[in-house]
This record gives sequence, structure tokens and C-alpha cells, in this order.
Amino acid sequence: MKNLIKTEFIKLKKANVWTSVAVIPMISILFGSGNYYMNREILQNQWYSLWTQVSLFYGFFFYAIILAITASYSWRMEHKDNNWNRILALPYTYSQLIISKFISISIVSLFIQSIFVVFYYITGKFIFQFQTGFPYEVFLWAGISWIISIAICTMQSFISMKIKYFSIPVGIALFLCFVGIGFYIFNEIGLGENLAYFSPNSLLIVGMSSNKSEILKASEYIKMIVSTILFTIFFTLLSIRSIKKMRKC
Amino acid sequence: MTMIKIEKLIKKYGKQTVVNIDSLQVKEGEIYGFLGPNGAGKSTTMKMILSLVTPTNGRIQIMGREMNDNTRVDLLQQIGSLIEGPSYYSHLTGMDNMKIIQALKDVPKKNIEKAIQIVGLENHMNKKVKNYSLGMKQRLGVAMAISSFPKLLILDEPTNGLDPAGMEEMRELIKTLPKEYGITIMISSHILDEVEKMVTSIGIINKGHMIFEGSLAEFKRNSHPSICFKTSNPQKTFRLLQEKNPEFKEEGILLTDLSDGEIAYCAKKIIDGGLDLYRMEEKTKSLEELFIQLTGKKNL
Repeated sequence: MKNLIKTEFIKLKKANVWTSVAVIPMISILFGSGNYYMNREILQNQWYSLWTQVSLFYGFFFYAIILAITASYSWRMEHKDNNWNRILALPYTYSQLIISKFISISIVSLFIQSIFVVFYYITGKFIFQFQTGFPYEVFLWAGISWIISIAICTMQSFISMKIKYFSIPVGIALFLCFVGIGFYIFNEIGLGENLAYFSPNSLLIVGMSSNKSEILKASEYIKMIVSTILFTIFFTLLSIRSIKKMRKC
Repeated sequence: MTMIKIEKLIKKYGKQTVVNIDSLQVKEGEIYGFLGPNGAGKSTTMKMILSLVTPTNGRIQIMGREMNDNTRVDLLQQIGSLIEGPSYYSHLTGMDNMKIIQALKDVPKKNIEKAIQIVGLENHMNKKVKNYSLGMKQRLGVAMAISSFPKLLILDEPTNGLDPAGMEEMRELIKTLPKEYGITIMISSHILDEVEKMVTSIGIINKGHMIFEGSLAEFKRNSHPSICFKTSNPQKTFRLLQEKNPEFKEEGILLTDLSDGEIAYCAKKIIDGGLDLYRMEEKTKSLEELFIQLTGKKNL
């Protein structure tokens, strides 16, 4: 299993996916900072205000989209050049193959998240030169949303495994972002209580505390994690089943 | 030991039966040529052996053990394969590709070096695979397949797309594997000539059915020699031997399926007819011709 994950990173080495992995979090920070700068009169809470802005685009769209790109890229390597035949003839169980794929994507996700936090820090500290201390809640938000992102990694990995084209799964990811935003908004305005727990993308928005800067109740975090685990298990099982079905044809 | 044993193997897609093999056996140390025209069911059979495709019915035993979901990981440990062309990551170098295999199969580095040396790619390992020629990609595919020095190697048309020199090289390479490394090989091809020089046994499949299985010598025994008569007057010879279904050939008059007595009779007839008999030559049917006769199809 360790070897499988290791090889996923050899495959991703020299892959052009790293550019998006590095650049997209920076763009999110740039957009958010721009917004913050224009609205400085209203946004007076320094670090927290900046967070509400940078996490907005990132949590709503960008984070999920980079994960979709990474998953698509990761599977495209297998769809191309007849690699399926070799992978399935390797002495590994299907669950090992599937799980190693989404673990590797989740590790990339952690990397993306770290870049995001580092750039948030650099922007606040050196560009806006905030005087207040760095808010440690950021680690909670970034951490919890990374955990939630594992569900998205598994989901996107499943979609990209099924669909051989690169851009269609990314398009689906964008659609799912909108669904996530929809559920999130309904949830917020009280039209559907707990609706956010039914979309990993909504959870990502909630977890990231996008456009907000508050700590939720512990029970809500637990619910988020439970929901993430269920989504992860669901898409893992679906992926394994889909490989088994593929062998029939 | 029997490395591969297939019994009553059936694969259906919808109503269409693509494979229907009563029995197939590959013994240890063999180079088994799995032959048949394109679309005969060779790849599907090989995929079933590797558990890449689930059979509709029947049994596949590898080294005495049934191939199924519970045993596949264990059995695949002992098998190297190359199915439907080489698999590789084109954005990586040859070496990175080999490193991936090394990690996946958990083999020592010296295995990788040996495999690279066997296929003769030592000087191309730092090149990206997308810049490889097809022949090099095929050789890389073989290197990956043999990197664990498996007991069983399954090669699906490994010479496809190679030029004659490349084919010869690949043949030489494959021939050394059983002798030097104790690897049993099953190799498929739709061109008999291509594998004739290296195989020890053959199985011929057509429209999903096995139509011959046995040694190459046995297969050759099926070929009845033809006799070519070269005389001073071919037209007249043709008329004289009309009853034996003669054929006009550039080199003379060709008669097939003759017993010794019939050959003597024909010679006598030519000489009695007042013609000079310059030459009587035995023509063995090439394996290719036999193959076509059996499968009723020219390859391709």
C-alpha cells in the first residue's frame, strides 16, 4: 500500500498539474485580498476580515476545482497508453488501488491547503501589515476543510475513473460546487436544516468558514466529520464496484 | 507442472460468444504460441487468464490454483504481462517508469537493471517515453513485464508494429527467457511466421474455438507434401496428369497429397508420354499456409 502511494507521486512528478496546485490558491488569495482592499471601510477586523474574503472564492469554487483537476489528471495517466490493463494485472486488491489513488489526491489537497494558509499569512503580515496576532482559528478551519476535502477527493476520483475525458469531470465539479452553494444557502436561510451535510461541497464552505469568521459548535464539527466519512466510504465502495463491473465487459 | 489449465471456458458478450475453449494447457518451461486471426478471442482469453475479464463460465487454473477474486492477488504476483500493447506513462522517463514497477512489484533494484539490460534499453533510460519509438515502447513493456522475473509471462502480440529487425530482436529476447530464467511464456500472434521460430507448442484459436493444440512437430505432420514436376513440356504434362488435379506453377506442375505409389505413377506417365523429366521436387507447405488452411483466413 505504501508502495502504491509512493508510485502515485512518481507518476505525478513532472506533471503539469503542480502549476494549478500552486497557482489557484494564490489566485484565490489575490481575489480575496482585492475585495478586502476595496472594502476596507466596512471590513475592520484585520485578519478575520481578510479571511472572510479570501476563503469566499476558495471555499465556494477554487478548492474543489483544483481537486477535480488533480483527480482528472491522476486518472488520465491511467486511461492513456493502455495503463488500465497493467494496473489491474498488478498483485493488488481493487480497494488498495482505489484507496491509494484518493490518498495521494488527499495528500495533494493537504499541500494545496498549506499553500493557501501560507499565502494568507504572507498577505496579512507583509502586504496589509496587520497589527493584531495571527488568528489560530485558521488552523481549525483549514484542518477541518482538508478533512472534508477527502470526501471530495474520493468523489472526484470516482468521477474521473469513470469518465475518460479530462475536462468533463472538472465541469461536473463546477456543477457540484453550485449544488453545494445552493444547499449551503438553503441551510443558512433556514429552508433546509442540515441540508449542507448532504453535499461535500457545502461542507467545504461551512468548514472553511467561508465569508465568515466564527467557530462552530463541536457537535457541528462532529457531524461534518461523520458526513465526510460516509461520503468517503460511499464513493470508495462505488469505485470498487465499478472496477468489478468493468471486468464483465 | 501445468502453468495454465483452461477447461470449458466461455465468454459471452450479450448473445455473442467470443470465447468457447474446451481445453487449453500451457506446461512449465514452454513458449506457447497462441495463434489465431484478429478477433479470434486471443486477447479476451489472455485477459481472463489475468482476471482482467470475468469469464461467463468455465475454469482457469494457474499453477494448480483456481484463478478467482480470492486468489488473484497471490497468483498475479507470479505473472508478468503485456496486454494489447505496452502500458507506460509517457510524460515520465523510461527510468521513472521502471521505478514505478520496481515499487509496485517490490523487487530489488538489480532486477530492474537486469530487465533493462535484457531488452537492451540501457542507453535510453533518461529519455521521456513519449519520445520512444514503438519498438522501444514494446521493449520497455517487456522489461516491465519481466522485472519481477515471474514464473509465467503473458505477452499479447508483443511484436505488433515492429519492423522486421525489431521483430527478430524481440524473438531472440523472448527465446532466452525460459532457458536462462525459467520463465514459462504464453505469447499470442496473428502471424504464425512471426512466432514459428521460437515456440515449443502452439494453440490455434478461431472464432473463439480451439482448432488445434499440440507441439509444432505435430502440427507440421499435418502438412502433406506436394510434388513439383519440371518437364520439357508443362502444357502436355498438365494434360497427362489431369486426373490428379495438377496446378500450373512457375517452377513446374504441382500435385498435392500424393502417396509414394502415385508419385511413381506420375513420373512413369510423363516419361511414357515422351517428355523429358528434368526434376521432381518435394514442396512442404509453409506453416503459414497450413494456418490459413485451418483458420480459413489469411492473416490480417
